[in-house]
Amino acid sequence: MNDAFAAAQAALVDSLVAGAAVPAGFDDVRLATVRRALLRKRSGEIARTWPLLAAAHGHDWSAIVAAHLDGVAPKGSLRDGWDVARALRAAGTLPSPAAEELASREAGRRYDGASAPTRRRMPAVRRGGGALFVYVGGRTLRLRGLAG
Amino acid sequence: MRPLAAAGDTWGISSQTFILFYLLLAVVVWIAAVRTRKAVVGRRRGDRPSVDLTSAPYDVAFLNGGADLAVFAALSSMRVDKTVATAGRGNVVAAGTLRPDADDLERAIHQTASSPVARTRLRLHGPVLDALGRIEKRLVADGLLLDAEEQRAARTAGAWMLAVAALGLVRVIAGIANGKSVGFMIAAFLVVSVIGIVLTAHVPRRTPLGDDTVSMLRGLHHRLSPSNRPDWVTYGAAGAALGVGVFGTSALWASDPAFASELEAQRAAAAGGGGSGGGDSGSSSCGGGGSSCGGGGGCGGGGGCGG
Amino acid sequence: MADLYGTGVGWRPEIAGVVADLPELGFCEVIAESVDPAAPPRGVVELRDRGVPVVPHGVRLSLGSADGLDRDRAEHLAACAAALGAPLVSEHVSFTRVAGRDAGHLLPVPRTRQALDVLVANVTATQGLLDVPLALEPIAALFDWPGEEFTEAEFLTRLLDRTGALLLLDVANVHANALNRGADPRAVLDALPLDRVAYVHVAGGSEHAGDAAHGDPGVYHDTHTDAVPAEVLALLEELCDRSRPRAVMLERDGHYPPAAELADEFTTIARTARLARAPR
Repeated sequence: MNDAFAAAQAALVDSLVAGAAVPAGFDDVRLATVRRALLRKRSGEIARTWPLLAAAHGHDWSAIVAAHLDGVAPKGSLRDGWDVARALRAAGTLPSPAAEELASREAGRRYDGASAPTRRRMPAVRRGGGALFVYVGGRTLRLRGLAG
Repeated sequence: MRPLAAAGDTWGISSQTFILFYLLLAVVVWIAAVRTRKAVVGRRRGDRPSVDLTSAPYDVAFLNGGADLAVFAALSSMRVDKTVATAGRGNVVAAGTLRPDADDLERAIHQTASSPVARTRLRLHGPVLDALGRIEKRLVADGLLLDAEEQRAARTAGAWMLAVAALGLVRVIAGIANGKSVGFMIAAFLVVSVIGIVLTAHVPRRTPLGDDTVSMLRGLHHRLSPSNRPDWVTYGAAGAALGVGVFGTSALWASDPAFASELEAQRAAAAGGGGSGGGDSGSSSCGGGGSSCGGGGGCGGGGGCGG
Repeated sequence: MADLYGTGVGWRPEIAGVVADLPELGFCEVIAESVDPAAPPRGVVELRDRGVPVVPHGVRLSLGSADGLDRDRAEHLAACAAALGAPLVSEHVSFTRVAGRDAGHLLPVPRTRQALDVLVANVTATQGLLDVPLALEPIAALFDWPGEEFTEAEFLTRLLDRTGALLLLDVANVHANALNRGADPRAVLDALPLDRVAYVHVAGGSEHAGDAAHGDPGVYHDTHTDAVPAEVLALLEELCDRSRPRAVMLERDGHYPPAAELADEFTTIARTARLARAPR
């Protein structure tokens, strides 16, 4: 009995955050407004976890998030931001402070893009934004200017 | 039992006997040096209570982290007041007009940065140097920082250990010249040298009263702790200055990471890049229904919201 | 009824110092999901020790989930209440999660008998874990479900009657819903079970001009990141004319204003709700 209700709720959530079609009977325009509002809220949450990534894009940040994550189910702000940063890096448009932020995260954690990032056990080195990050003994050290 | 001295012993003293007395001497001098240092550092303590420097945030910053932190605190405050802006990586430039009641140090920075200056070089410029000098003088006069004489006395006490090390070195050289085995003596010399170098190089800047004052201020202003990510718009320029003064550059990273990054501020031990701060857990749901929290643009921290 | 009186504010770590300095703070609310019951935030503990009641406010319990209650989250809410000595706790009439999906946001449930049964079951199960009363807050919704059987007031009255829960009334939500549905907020107030009000939320929002390209006529967003608009304050006054609440609080969740503005807003709410003592 509640299975059908649960399925209806799931269909609504999917249409709002996972790119599915609007379920029958709902106001398309209003759901589109909600979808945009949710993306805006998501961009604010990612900005808290990835402050340099967000700051580097200024007022365009919400639009960047919308462009990358519209229709992508939320995975928490750490992973959401990580995915956006990697996509920008792959496109060659990741600004330098944001590249540093990404490199410092990647030095300390392993993230396969599909499951939650895990803390590294072994030392690692990552470069980005003109800085070199050395992760050793649970700490990330920033070495400036060594990576050109 | 071996005689105390035998023919062929360096300086006529057996290795065993010498190393015994040498280590005894080292321990005695070490204790004396540490005690003397303690006495020198705490000389002006008396029964004075710690000092509430809340109204002098740059004094707090200097006390806590020296000239560099005082500059960071002033820049943070000026950033909130929009009297300073960043000008490319690591550079700052003056902007706007200062408040009429602007602090001495803010005025000096504003004047110095009329054209872009590297943050790291700010404190080397005349006006800033002078302002920082006045802060230091106040802190010394209040008994929070050691004066030059006290620092020298503390360093001299540490240098006694270096004298002991020098004696060890001479013995090692003499021993080698004499064709004796000197392994233990070299080890003793190295240990004493390290202690001597540490004692001489690491002279405390703060008096015990200064230490108490810093920890008292941390307790008093715990709401400005970086773990709270205090909002600088809400707390204002004075809150920003005090937060950085009391908690160091991690306060700058917590409240204004973009500015911290542009200033290339030192980042305190950020395991994994500080991702634990915000939303690993997708912190909250917010607003009511289909509403939004933090419409576009730089979100001022739309954290936990209810409905 | 619940032991709250006066003017309160949502405690947030970013503004902890300003909250602590508010004169005549009657109570505060803290987001339950941000509290570790074993080590509650120091600023909250200080307020509690000063005798300021603290209300844990859940935002992720998802009482409207058709696939049942997340018992761990309900237990967390109860643990927060115990740790903070709370006089009551609150949550929303909404769902945020279902079938492994998370909207990350409060979404409306359909106002149907079936949804009512789901809510009653989840609310009752939660109450079974709580030692203190539970207040339920209707949310601001930008859309309605098709095939609804009740008005919001009817739905809410039935829910409160069947569960014995209290009402956390958000006047900004009433304003938003009425505006977005083209209804009269005063008529909504008239129909609500005001005798069940434990306390009242007042928050800011903003009108979005809409987006013609998307066929969007424009809506009022209950953002909690803007100043409280005059219309919401007027509605608070309307509420007080009908049934004066014992406790009213300001909710702000981001884009925090300077301390003086926040304090002014707090005072304005106190005065509007006639909770302010004579100025000294």
